[in-house]
Amino acid sequence: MSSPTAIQPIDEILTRFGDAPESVQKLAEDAAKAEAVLGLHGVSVTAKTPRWSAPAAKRSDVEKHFSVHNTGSDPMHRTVELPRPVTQEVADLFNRLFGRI
Amino acid sequence: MNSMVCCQNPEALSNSASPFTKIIALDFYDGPTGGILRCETCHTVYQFDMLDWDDHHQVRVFRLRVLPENSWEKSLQALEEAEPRPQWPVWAPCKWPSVHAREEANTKLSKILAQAKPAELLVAWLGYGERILAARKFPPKELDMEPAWLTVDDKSKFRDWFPMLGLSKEKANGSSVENNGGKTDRQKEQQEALRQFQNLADASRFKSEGPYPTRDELHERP
Repeated sequence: MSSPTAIQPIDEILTRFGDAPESVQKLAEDAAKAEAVLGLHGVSVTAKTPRWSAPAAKRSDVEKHFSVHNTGSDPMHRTVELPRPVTQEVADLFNRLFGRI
Repeated sequence: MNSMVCCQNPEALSNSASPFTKIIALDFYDGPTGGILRCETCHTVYQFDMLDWDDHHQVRVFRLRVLPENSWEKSLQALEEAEPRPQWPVWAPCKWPSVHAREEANTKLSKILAQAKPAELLVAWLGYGERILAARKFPPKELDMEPAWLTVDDKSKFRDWFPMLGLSKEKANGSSVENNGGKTDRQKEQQEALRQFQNLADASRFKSEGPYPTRDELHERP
């Protein structure tokens, strides 16, 4: 008797809008503002893949370095939680994950 | 907060504190991108969605559709099981006790939003809506059929809405906030402040009759 095939969860593709690398300052400001509203120190990404080219990364790759939370009323909205303070290393890693540098 | 600003006079909204002091962010991306809001002055309730933004997602252009008067209370009732509890100026309902509760809330909200009148108001604000940069009324036909930015499936369909409000997306994008380029944080803060100041200046409709502005003109008195 063959063993049942394990069901692999489908990895999400997370999109972060904007082609240019984001600075420490911008990521820190976005994260701080989001924390006041969402309760999480992080920045937005969407699991809805646009039909046009945009910086994207697999959720599993992002989660190797940052926590990813399903947040907001939009079922496709995610928040990538950033450490506090946001350092240059964090910004570089974030930008590298989304293929900006 | 300036209690005199009101959505009924969009010209006066340019370069002002926002009268939209209560925003329910049903859609969110580094700030509200859609939802329901209320004018604090006249209590008109609107459904809003985002037509455009700058590359830094700081300046956002929204289309507003009037909702029936009782929509605000009905929306709060529809979301009464959501967490966190309402908080202002921006509330983003995030969690529900069950999938059923979430679906029920969405059904109620859909019925409320279906009553929206055609969009007639275009508003640009900074970030989370703390400051209005420009606003103007539009014929509903021009606004209503336009796709919201986050629903556009073809990049060529993106329309630059900034000039419609006397703003410049190039200037908004001109800041090097996203470009480290060896600049210090202080320099970047200065550039961001300059960028915001330029947007406010672009949004201003002030014009003196003479070579120097009079006291009445400066205070915009008739």
